[in-house]
Amino acid sequence: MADRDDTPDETPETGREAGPETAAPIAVTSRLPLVVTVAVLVLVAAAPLVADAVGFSYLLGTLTRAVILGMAAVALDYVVGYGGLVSLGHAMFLGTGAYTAGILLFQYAEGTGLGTDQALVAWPAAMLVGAVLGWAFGALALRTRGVYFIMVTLAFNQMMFFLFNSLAAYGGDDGVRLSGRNRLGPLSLEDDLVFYYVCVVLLVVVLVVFNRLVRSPSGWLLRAARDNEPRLRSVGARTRRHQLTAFVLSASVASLAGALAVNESQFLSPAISHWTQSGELLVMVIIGGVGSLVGGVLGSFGLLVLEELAIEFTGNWQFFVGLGLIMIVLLARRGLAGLLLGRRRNV
Amino acid sequence: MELFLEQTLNGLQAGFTLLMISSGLTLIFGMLGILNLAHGSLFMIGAFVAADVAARTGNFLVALLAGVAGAALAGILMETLVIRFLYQRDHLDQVLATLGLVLMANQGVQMVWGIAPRTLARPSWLEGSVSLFGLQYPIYRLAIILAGIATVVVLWALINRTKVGMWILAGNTHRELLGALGVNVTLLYTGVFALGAALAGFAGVVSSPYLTVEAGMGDNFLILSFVVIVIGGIGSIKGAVYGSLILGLADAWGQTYLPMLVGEFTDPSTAAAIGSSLGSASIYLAMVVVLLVRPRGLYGAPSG
Repeated sequence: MADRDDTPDETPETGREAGPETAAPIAVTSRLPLVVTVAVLVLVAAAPLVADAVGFSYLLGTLTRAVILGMAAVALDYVVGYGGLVSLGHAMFLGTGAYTAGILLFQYAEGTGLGTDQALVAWPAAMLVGAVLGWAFGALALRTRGVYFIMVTLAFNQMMFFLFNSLAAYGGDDGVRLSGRNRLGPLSLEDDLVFYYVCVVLLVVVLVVFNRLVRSPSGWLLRAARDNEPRLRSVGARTRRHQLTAFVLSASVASLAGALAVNESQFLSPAISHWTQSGELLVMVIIGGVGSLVGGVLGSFGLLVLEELAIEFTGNWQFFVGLGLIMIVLLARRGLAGLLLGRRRNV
Repeated sequence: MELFLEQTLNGLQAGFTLLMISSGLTLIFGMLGILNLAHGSLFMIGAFVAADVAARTGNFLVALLAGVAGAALAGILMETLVIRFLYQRDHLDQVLATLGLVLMANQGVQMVWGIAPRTLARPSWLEGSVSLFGLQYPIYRLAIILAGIATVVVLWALINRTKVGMWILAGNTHRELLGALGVNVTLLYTGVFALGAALAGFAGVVSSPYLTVEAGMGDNFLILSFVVIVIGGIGSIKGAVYGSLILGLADAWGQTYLPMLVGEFTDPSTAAAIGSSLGSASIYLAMVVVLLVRPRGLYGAPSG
């Protein structure tokens, strides 16, 4: 088909894709006012109490997962919504964090090799490993843009998935059960409610950090590069450096979410890094509203509630979740946050 | 030497299977501008239909035809009901909606055919092996290679020697003009999508004797096709051909020779473990090399 010869040119493409269709720029919801963020966080904090009061206390595990995956979705939204870089590989960072913290915990319990049960060691370690991998994969993937970026991140995701599957010492593709959770000072993380609020506090920290980042010079450059990268480069801005910074931070926070997820389930399994999980994170970002940060939390609660409902009423929940996704794309373009706010676009 | 020949043929067989999937994917992207995550589901649907028909009729050829037709039909349904509305959308929307199709398809085949995995046997007339330069090689694998070559030839002839092919090429770059000339572009798009779907279904049926027919069986092939497209350059059939063969051979040779190479330095059991992970990673290493040298793929369109 398009067999025109390529000049060895690594300047990233502009708005135009290789295909004939010039895909529209990503539809971005405006950043939500602070009051919405606070309201969402208050609801999140109250959720277990409400669930308990109406007799749905068994939902605490689901709510905890929603907080954790919401954190990863917020991190992904920084890259997708503000950077315009659609990563379909963020589940590999969930897996990275889960395997870093999980292996440390497993080896501590077995008394073999390097291990620790201290959250203050294991969680930063997970973030560090996530950042290093994010730097390596990000630097490679950022040599491309647009649809190539999606495919490259997805390929790296699959590579890491197979790597986790091949770790026979930690159960291979079956995974391995852990004997408990990390220890965090005087707090008892074994208590599900305490663990929930630890996750909520970390989520608040993550939201504060990303909200600051968005307003930092690096965040401005990131958004400007999303809208017109060639112009920015022509005035001498080193766009790729800021994009890589964003990707590394995002990967690191997603790894923290992975470390929390393995604590929640106390089960270390490669399933957490399956490519459809990467897709689900993107779904959360879109349901919540791209480029709204706290939308990731809305999206993650929205999706997990949708799944719970689908499981409740039918055994074929995936079918209806899939149908729901298609409906959302075709009918509700700006996500939940967009519905809440109308069609403003002044990021 | 025999090992080398065998692994080369295995690599070609895997490469040509990938080619059938990735050529459809790249054709669809080149023309429709759609990144279709559900392409692996069409592979799976072809396999399920064929397994079902083979179980009823016992005839592999009938099953093959049914599988290809089933995948094409599923493709037409997807295009008219969902994909068509995504042409002007950004990639994010395309990813989300086609991911929705993947979830529906994975659950859908289980709703229709149950959760028990199925199998599809090779036809009896392709059983056995032939002798090639002293190597006993399965006829069925050779048949896949030949089918792959035939696919390339037919696709090449279709695009370069027919009027429809001319429309497809024109639609790549000048679709409004093509419509103004009286070509039914909507129908052409559906046709191209169905062609890609049929190719994926064909690949699904012929690969099934080596696989388990189950939900999600096409996912890894989809992702490998993406690697092919990153290597070959998006929208380019030529790129898909080279990318598929490079990937198939890199995988076959990597899985065989990397463990041996590692074995020179360590004890056998460690070598087996390290080597096999290196071997599985060889396709991604190939992608990384291309990204470093030619970020837009071997035959990708120039940027700008």
